[in-house]
Amino acid sequence: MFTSKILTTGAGPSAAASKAARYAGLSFHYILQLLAVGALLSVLLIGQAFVQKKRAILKEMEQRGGLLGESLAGACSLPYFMGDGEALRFIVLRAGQLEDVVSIALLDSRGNMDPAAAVGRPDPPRLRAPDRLEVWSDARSIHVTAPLSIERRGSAGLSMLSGEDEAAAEPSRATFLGHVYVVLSLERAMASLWGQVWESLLATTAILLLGSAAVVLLFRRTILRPIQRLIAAMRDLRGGNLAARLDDPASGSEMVELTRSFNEMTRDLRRAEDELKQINAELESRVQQRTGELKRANEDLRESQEKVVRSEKLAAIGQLASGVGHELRNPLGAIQNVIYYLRDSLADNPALKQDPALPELLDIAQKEIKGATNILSDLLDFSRVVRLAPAPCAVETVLEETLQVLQAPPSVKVIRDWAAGIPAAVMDHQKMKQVFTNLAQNAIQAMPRGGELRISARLESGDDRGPGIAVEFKDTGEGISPEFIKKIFEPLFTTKAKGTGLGLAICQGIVEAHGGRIRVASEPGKGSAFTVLIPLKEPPHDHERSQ
Amino acid sequence: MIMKEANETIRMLVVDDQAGIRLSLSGILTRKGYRVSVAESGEQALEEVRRNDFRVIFMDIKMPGMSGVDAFVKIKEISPRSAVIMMTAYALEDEIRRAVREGAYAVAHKPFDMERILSIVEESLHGKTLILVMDGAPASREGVKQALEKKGYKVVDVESAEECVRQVKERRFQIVLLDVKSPEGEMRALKEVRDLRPDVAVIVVTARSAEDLVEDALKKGSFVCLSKPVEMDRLMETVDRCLEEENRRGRAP
Repeated sequence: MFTSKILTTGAGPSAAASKAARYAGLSFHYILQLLAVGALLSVLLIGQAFVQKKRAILKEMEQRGGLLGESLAGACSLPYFMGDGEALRFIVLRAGQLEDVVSIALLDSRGNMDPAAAVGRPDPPRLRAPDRLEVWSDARSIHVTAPLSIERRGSAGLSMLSGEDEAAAEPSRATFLGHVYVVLSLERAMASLWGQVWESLLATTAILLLGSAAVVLLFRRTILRPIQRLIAAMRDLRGGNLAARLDDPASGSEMVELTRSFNEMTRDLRRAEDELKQINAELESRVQQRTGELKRANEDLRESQEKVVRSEKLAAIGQLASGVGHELRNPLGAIQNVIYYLRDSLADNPALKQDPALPELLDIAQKEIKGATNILSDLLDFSRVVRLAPAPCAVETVLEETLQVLQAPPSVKVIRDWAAGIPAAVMDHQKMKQVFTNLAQNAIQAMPRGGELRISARLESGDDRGPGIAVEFKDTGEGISPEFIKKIFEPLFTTKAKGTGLGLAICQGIVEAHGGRIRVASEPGKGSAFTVLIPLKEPPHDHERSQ
Repeated sequence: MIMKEANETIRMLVVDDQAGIRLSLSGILTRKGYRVSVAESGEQALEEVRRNDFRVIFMDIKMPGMSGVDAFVKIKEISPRSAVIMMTAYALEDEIRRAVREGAYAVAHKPFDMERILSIVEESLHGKTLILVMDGAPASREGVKQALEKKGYKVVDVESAEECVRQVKERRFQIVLLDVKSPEGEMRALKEVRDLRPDVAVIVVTARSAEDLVEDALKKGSFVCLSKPVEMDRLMETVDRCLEEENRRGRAP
């Protein structure tokens, strides 16, 4: 149809277009109704005008017919009375030439037609009122009968006036002669009327069409296009583009208002989204922060828990070690004394010459006692409260002293990797030397087939405890398997065939008494690195471990 | 064998509730030729001391009943000339300190090196003057040690303040020579030595010209304070003077 054609050309071929079509179609529906109402109205108006006009034409034609009939009767009365056929014929012929006249006939008083004075083919009707002018019409023509009469008044003059009043007033005075019968055709008048109707119908249709086209164009320009733009922008908006913005339409205050509202809405949305984003980011960072805090708190908790467990364990072990260690010293002392006695008494005894294994076995016993004593010393060392004698001290000095007492086999290459100028740290010189010696010895023992021991020292910016000195003992030995790495600081844990498993525990106790810690990195088959971290700030004086 | 004859007249007492130690130690001492008595408790020891005059007494600290230190204090009243060597298997810090302050000749930790114990016994028998030298620098330490040994003193030399304190807890030194380098470690050792042995003569040698250190040293109870460089003669002279002072004090009461 008309509207749908405009729509399909106006909107694109898409789902959105159908939406637009529905939207526009609705509007066009109204326009169509408007058009229909306009058409109906104009048809009604035209019809009414037609009816009125037709009535007017009929009336006019009837008047014309009446006038023609009367004047024809007036003109014909005298000649008819006189019997002047020639004049009658002339008059009738002349009248017959008048417009719309179809036929004229003269009828006598009895109603017989004078065929000589007739035009066309008249079919005179039977007279109903013989002495009066009569006008009637059928669908195609006007019929008029006018009486032919002579006034019988004083004057001989013939009056052409034959009004009803006059006739009624003086009926007895007139002499009725016959009738004039005239038929006028309505064809011409009706044709012109129909022409007018068609003309006005055409004009109305044209006006309506032009008007609606104009309305459609206007609609498209002022409503449909902005709406389409709005829909596109909405779609854009829904797609997530909050930057969607409409240009102000040229006209239409509602559309301007709508556009403005839309722009305000998107602006508000944008602002809301920005706020949301900001809040979101804030929330996220806060969540992150809180998560970090929680994690840290958790770690701290676990660390302190582990510390508590460890220190309790250490205390228990320490107590046990202390008790057993001391208790064992008495029998050990007695055995040692006995060995001394035996050796002394065997020195110049012939039994010694008979059995040369005796002094050897006594040596072994003595050595074992020495070993046992060392183990006890380690145990007691471990169980003792670490009491520091801290003093500012250069770590290089401690390292040099460590290397002096360190007995490295020739297969182990010891590399000194430290530069001068490491600031002095407050530490217990002897205890730190004990730690360094222990770590260096461990490193050497981890390399039975030789290797490289790299001892390095450097200043480290450190962790939360502030800057400190990091002393690293790195070997190229067997390394520590991951399952053991967590246990190596536990007292009595050892991977060595000969070891008490107290060395590292003691080292850790000493380093922790300094406020520092020992870091381990190891790769099985490649070697281990033990790093002692000594904080530069003053360590606490006593490090409670047991007792 | 010659020594054995000479030792015949020297009486010694071994006091320990632990039979192993008591018997093995008395056995060794007997083999060395001394006349050895044994006691199982502090009470028994007192009885023994009242009966005989012992040159050297080995006293275990931890015993049921009367403790070794209490017994030693009582023995001191009966026989002040006896050298009492305390023995312990335990780290009884307070008891050890008390014994040291009361003038125990030595504190031996079990199990002990018999050779060392025997040399301590020898020193006590010969009445050697015992001097502790603490110096961080090995060269000067060695020099001082040799000079003192040449004069017939028994010298124990240590290089750290900690060792110094440990030695003071083990032997009854007559003089402690302290080389003070830093106020922290050595001054603390000085204080500790004073605390352990209020009677000992402490000679502080300091390389520092700082007067406050000297003052501090004197306040902490050093007998005398010398500033480096110290000539050996002057040092020896100071040592002699200290010993004279001590002898005079020892005779006074």
